[in-house]
Amino acid sequence: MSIGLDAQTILAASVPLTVPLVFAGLGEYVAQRAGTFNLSVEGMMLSGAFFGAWGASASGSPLIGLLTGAAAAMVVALVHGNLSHRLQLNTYVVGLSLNVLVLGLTSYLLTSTTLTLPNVSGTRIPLLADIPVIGEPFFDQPWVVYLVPVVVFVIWWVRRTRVGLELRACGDEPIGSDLTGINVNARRRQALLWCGLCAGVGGVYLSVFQASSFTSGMTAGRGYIVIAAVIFGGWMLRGTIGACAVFGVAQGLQLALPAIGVSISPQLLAALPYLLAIVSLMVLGNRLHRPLALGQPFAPSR
Amino acid sequence: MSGITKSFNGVAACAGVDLAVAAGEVHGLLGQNGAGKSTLMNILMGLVRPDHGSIEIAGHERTIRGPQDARSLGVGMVHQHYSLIPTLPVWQNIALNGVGKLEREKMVAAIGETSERFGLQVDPMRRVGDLSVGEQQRVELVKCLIEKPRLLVLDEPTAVLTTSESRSLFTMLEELVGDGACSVILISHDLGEIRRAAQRATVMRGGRVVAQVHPAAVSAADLAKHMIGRDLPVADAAAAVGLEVEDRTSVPTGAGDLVSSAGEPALRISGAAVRAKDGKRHLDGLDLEVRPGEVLGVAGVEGNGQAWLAELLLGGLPLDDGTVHVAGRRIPVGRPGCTRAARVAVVPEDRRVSGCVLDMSVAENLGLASLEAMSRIGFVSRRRLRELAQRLVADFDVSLASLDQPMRSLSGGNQQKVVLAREMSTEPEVLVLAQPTRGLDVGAVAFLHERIRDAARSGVAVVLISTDLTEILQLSDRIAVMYRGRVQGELSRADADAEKLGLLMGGVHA
Amino acid sequence: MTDTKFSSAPSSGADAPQRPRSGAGGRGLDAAAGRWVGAVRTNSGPAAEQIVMFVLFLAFGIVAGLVLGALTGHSPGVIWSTLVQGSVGDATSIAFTLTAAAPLLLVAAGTVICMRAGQFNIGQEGQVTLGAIGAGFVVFKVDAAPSLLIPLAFAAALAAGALWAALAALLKFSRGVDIVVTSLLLVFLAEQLLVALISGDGPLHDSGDGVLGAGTASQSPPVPDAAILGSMGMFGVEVPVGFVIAVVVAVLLAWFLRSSLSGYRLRILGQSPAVARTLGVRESRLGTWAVMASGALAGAAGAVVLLGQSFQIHGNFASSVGWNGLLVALAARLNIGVSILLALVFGAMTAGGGLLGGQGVPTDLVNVMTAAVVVSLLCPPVALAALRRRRQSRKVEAE
Repeated sequence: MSIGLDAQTILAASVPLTVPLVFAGLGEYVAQRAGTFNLSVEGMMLSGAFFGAWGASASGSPLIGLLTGAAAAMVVALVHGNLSHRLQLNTYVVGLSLNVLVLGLTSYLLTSTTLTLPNVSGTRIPLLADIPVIGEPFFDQPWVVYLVPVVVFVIWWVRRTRVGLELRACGDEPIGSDLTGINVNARRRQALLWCGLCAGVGGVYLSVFQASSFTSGMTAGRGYIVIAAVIFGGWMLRGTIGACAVFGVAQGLQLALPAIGVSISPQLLAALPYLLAIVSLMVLGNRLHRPLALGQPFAPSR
Repeated sequence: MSGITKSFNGVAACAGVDLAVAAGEVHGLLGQNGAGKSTLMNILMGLVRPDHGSIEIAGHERTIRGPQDARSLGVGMVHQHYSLIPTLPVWQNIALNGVGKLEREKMVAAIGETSERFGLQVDPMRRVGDLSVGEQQRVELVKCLIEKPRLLVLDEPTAVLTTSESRSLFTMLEELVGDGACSVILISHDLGEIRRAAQRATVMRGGRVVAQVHPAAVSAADLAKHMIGRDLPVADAAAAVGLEVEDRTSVPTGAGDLVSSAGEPALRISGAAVRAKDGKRHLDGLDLEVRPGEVLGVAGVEGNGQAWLAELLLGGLPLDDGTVHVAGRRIPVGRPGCTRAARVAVVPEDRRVSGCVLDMSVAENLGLASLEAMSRIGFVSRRRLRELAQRLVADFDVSLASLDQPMRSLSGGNQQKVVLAREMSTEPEVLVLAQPTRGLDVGAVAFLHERIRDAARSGVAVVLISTDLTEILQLSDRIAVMYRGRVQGELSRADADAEKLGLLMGGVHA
Repeated sequence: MTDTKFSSAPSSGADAPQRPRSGAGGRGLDAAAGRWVGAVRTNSGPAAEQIVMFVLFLAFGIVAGLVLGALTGHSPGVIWSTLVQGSVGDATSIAFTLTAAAPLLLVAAGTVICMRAGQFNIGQEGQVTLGAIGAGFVVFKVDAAPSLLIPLAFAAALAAGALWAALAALLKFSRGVDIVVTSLLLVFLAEQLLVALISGDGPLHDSGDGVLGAGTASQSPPVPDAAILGSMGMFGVEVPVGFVIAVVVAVLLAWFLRSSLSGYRLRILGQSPAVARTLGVRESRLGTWAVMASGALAGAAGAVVLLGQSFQIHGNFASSVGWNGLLVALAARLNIGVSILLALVFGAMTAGGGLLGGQGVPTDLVNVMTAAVVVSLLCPPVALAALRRRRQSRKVEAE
């Protein structure tokens, strides 16, 4: 077997596994930069996956599925935002309970609906898809995958605008931001909604575009991997994307390695994201760009 | 601003305050802590809604809903707690003020222009977190000035500055108001500063305006009197104190004897220095001595190191320099509980945070300091806890429904009685009280004062840290005034009067 | 003299840079969580009001589940009666309920301990897993006398859970990494560790003893008879030993928290770190102990699940006992008594859920219901606070 072929096998296995992580990671990155340590990203992905599948099944259109899925995930974000930023309930408690709620709800609804999902084939990008090794894995994918650069661009662009600046200000120094006249909790809710949107798209990708089905609890802890990715990425955009890619490849290797005849413990690969996140926290600690007020509720006294 | 009234939970922070600032003047706003200055300015900035009253800017009545509104009306404020985001570079911080697109070149150019004009050197590209406090203040100033405000509010601007930094700040302010387009409200408790910089000054006390003066025309002493109050019961205090003296001489272990005879001070702090990371000195060569049976009053305007002194005596603050001796033995400050082990009892300033545990019962709170003494093989004896609690509640006249009710449900006065009772129950050598009667009703204050006197009479060395001069004058044998982390001067009770204290507090050598 | 209220006004954080860190004023995830622990114990409204609120919101959560059932075409009446029948209908059902409640209660009791000490450990799920692994090693690998098997298994489970939790505490107190984050990440490490141990050539893998077709699934061998936690007859119900252990532990812990010197210190640490400091309590030591205790109890829950409920380790053998136990403690607002009650409610739902399938109602409905109960039980403090505010403003108006 040639090295090129091996690389292609690994990439072909990794890219589909990376895509949902990147989507959700881009959402979680924004939420955390604005100061919310958002645990409900798992629930957001899962509700995106289910309601996306439901929408696509009911309408026969993957696009409608994408919209319903993203909307459902944003509902989770809305609930989370209102409970933790308006009613000042503890954000971890809210996040964890929402995850359990969504898991139960989607599993329950799954049994009382039958989903017939339309088949989505890859959209081949001419020329690019003919590049050896990387062509097939990157440029012969369902169209939703090509939204990744769009989302990255949006974040990159927003970061240079006033809104981006205010979001970061809320994550680093809510009291100062308040004195400057920024509505801290509103900005944080908006960041959470964005996280819902992105995580929802990631979830829809899982069910509608990749698996063409929905199974109970199908996100299987990807939300938590995403949290690990944001940490391992040092709370930076590039870092987050890179970490998602590393974690996606680690998952892809679990599938690809047996095929190319190499054996590494699959559990070790599955544990890699969490190990890396813990080690990076341990070693780098203060040098990471952790938002200074991450996880701190802000109660305006007006 | 006229007729501004604001109450927090029924306590009036501002009561019918009128304030008028003319164009092109530096208007001093003078008052002790809690006089209502900050609340008034927060109302002006829209951070706090007034209960009554109106704000007129350039002849039009305005409603201000937030800092954005205030800014658009040409009002800018440099807060004591800076509104800067430490992780962002200077230019982005300043840009946060505005609206619309972010344009770095334009912003940097504007910053350059403003800092040029007012001589405020700032590097727009540096991270705010890397700047010193003085530099941060310049950034904060530029952040306001770049909007070309009509009115600039400065809240205690010199509290964190070095002398030369303060001087250049005032030069800048003169230039700013020079062309009459901009006015400045200068909030300060520093008399010299107000006299130097302000054309007119409003003095506030207890949420009311007590005087409008031309500071240059009145003496610092007069200003001090306004600030602390003409009705300061110096005479009363002296009388109370006089009685006290008689009382004490009649008591065998009277303070007078002890102070002169005891060789060893109960508490001696020498050369205590604590520096912050940015080089600012929280405590800067502080020397204090207290003898058994003596009440040492530590006066001073808040923020001059008293809180750090209290923290030091709570045992939670390691010293960079200097020593703390209790009854002649040096104690290793900085380890939790070390001062308590040396029998220093502290009634901390923030009783709701570090004085008591609000959600534990009254009985448990009373027992906090003597849990070990009440426990056998690792279990606290409920019976002994109750006995102790009952005794202390009776001794200190704490009014409550039940020993089991949560501490939170007690009134402030009763909470403070519980804290003092608990601390006294450990039979300390040194009793430290930080702002012990702040926010309490008259009855509780009188009771607590009596108990503090009792403690001194029984031979405890008492350190009373307070910004309430009346209290200091009523209780202390000696008064030390703190200023910028040091003892600016010490007065015996006989020498102390409002004027001398006021001058010392304002950083002037009396 | 009016200053106390100023400190709650926005800019009178004003002299913050000029004063020492007094109190809980730390930054970061743990500090924020710690403040919540303080706040959660604050509700000092009349007890009757609190109980009414609790029952009301508990009922609300259950009703939400029933409504969902109705919306998807199942009769709420049938669902309710099935749940009741399956949980408390007869002696067997009650035994089922108690079996399901036991590990939840153990986890919840541990959670109460560490959170009352202000340590926001949310990794119970991983600690449960480690406990099961520890117990598994003993029952599958150690050649001990049958009578010693259960005590040894529990000892191993306690140690494994405690050490796993200690990792998170160690990282917090040596490297300043928030315990919320590390304990969460450790959950998933534990999960992979478990899978590695029971799959393929892992030491706990069931090789099937040569039986045809066996040994392919990732699972452990069944627990030997000598290690199975039995039950004891009480009031005509076969009460599982695991439940008895759990209740005894919970009651002892409640007593420990209330009366022992360490319990006092622990509560002081959680509710007011500032006061704890002045009393000479060292957070790094007491906090670590509290986290390890919670890990040990979660580990014990793992052993109870393995030896009394699943009798085998497989992929999802503990079915989120760790998460649910954590939620029980949080929804009970860190009160052990309420935790016992809620663990029973959760156990009843699990037991009742088993029967729902027979009525054509998907079992997952009970998961929705428990989650709805948890979410809705978060609300009473908010509701009570709102109630109090309204009452106060009415009083002001009346004046």
